[in-house]
Amino acid sequence: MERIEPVTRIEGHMAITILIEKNRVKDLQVNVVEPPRLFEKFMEGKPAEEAVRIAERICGICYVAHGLAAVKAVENAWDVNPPEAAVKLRRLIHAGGFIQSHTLHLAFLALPDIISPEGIKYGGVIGFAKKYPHLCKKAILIRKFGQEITKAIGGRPIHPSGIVPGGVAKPLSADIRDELLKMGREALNNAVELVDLLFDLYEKHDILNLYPEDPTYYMGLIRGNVHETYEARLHVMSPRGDIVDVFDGNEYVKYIGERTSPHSFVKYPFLRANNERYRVGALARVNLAEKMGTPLADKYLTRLRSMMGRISHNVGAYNLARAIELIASVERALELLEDEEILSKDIRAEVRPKAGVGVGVVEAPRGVLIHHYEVDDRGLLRKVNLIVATQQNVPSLEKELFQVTNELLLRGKKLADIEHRLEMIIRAYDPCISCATHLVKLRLMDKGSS
Amino acid sequence: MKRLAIISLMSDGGCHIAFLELHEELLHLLGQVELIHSYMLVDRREIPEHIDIALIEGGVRTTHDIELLKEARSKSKILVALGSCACFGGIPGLSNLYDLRASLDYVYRGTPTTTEGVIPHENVPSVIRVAPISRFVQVDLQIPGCPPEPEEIKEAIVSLIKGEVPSQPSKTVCDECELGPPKEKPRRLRKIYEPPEPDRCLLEQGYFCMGPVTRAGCGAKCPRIGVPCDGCSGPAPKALDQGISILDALVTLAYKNIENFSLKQHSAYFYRYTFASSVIEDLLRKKLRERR
Repeated sequence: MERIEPVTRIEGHMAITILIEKNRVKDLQVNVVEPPRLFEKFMEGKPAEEAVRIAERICGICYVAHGLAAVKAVENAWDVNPPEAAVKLRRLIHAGGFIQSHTLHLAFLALPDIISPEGIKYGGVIGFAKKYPHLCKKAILIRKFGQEITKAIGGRPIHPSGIVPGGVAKPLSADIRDELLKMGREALNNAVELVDLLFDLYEKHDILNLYPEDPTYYMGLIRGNVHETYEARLHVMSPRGDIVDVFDGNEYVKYIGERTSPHSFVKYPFLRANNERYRVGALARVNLAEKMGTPLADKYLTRLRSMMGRISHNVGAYNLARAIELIASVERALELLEDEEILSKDIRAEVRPKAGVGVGVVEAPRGVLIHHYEVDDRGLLRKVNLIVATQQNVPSLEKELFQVTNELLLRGKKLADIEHRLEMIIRAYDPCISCATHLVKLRLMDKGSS
Repeated sequence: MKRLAIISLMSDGGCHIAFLELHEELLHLLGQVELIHSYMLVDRREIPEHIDIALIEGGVRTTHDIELLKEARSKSKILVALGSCACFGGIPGLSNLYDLRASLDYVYRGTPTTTEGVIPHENVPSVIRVAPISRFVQVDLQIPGCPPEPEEIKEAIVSLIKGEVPSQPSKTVCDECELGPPKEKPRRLRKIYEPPEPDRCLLEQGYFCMGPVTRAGCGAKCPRIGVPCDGCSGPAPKALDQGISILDALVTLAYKNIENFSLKQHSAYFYRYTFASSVIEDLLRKKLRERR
């Protein structure tokens, strides 16, 4: 028995346990050993309006998405509609969250693998940063733009406090808007450079060949046929590319089920309609979209489609999809900042707590995020259920790792040599493990000839 | 060069992100100290030997956390509790008010989407009550906050490299807040969704603001945008216990809305980050021991 533990350059704790018999994989487990914090239980009894800041602590990376899903769930239960300017400010902070999260992953966690796909190690991000200081600095500046947006609207860059039921806490000042616009224009140039490098490396080194193809169902928000992250109906796409289900967030229990696994703290979602696996996140969203809705991102979408066709099933395409979304997020942030309504002082609707059930759905950087709250007549949370982004990709990840390990073993590779390849596949999903347990390590068991 | 390691236990990774929040300054800091371990930033699985400064991110939630923590302690000269989970148990500490078995049962068997429920038990560690790391090892320095301030992390590391004792704020968030401290009693309880009057202390206006008892250092970022302090940095040195101290502050202000006191409700305000290290937690633990 071998165990790769912990998997590195990801956001959380995960191990892979592989049981080999006669040079074949008998069993492979993704062991999410991230300590379960049991938010769904201890949020019970808390005032619903406080759910936003509490739920942000589910994730130290996609806290903005959790804050937005939470506030939308509360507002859904209380029939509150925030003013248009507040929705724009929320869309802006959401773009900020995508920019910081996607840049962290692409530039620091994924790119070292892509620049040196044969597994030449840089000793992680630090070694990589020393080898490519120029690139590293640009990536830092892109991320900083995202975090400055979050700070401007949320009061602080990590775990912002400015998202409140009814709207947002504070209007955006013209001075800060002007500074953000300046930073954003520079960030767009830097993002284009980073994304060009990534696409060029993929084409030059045939990177997609290093990753498995996995034709699955996909789920995500889509508005019309345009890429969306904040507010829309959920769409399910079949592996052939047909839209097979469209539903409101409030109906999610009818469409999504979760199985538990004895070997992991993360639950395994599936489509109730057909018992099938589905994937979420950048690739799902990009597969669902006919267009991104911003000029530069649409050019990169065309480039991706010329490489892979209309639908991409390759796990490695997650990185390219994330790159397209990074460009789209910076462009959207700039569009919102140029919209004069973003400075409006009409940012709060009146809130009247009542008993009710609310579901809040947003796209987190890693995929569909659902917060479901039952609120009692005193405004206290009575029941909480969460479907977080990363967990929805774990069933597919486990199957893909099984398949790739078997193929490599058949080609005569030693377990120690395939570790790096398995980690690349895991990282392509940008798994955010603390979120998913509410996930990653590699343990190998060899009961073979030895 | 001194060797720095970041070891993660139960956490959301936000303290790692706070470290990255140094942006360009991070590159400069990494020229002064060698980062030898971090699951996010360094490709190394095992905790290395001969660590000069170990930053522990996260509190204790599983038996595996205890093993990692003790291993980190045995390999480190200086051990720092980074963030409110490591220092106090953090938000997950709120879980200790709920029966652990019932909580696991709900999360893994009882939610509306769960169909074939089983509580995980194979190749995963045992789940225990949330605890601050000081319950298991000696802690040399605490840098609380959810997350801690990036500048404070940097300054602490720089001081420790030089062999100096990092300075710690002794004041409260109220001391740093342009609106406070509270001078008169609130007339009614206000909720976070009600817009505050500008330029007036949030506690005076009736918001549950933890400013009077919470450790300074953040620059009162939340009250500054009209949102009450939720106490993320834990107790100010003089406050000892954050929850009991805010009760004290409220009683002092002759707060009239405190009837129907329920810890499960008010822990959201009073103990959001520190329940697992509170005196009430000690009482709960004692009761559990007596029951056995």
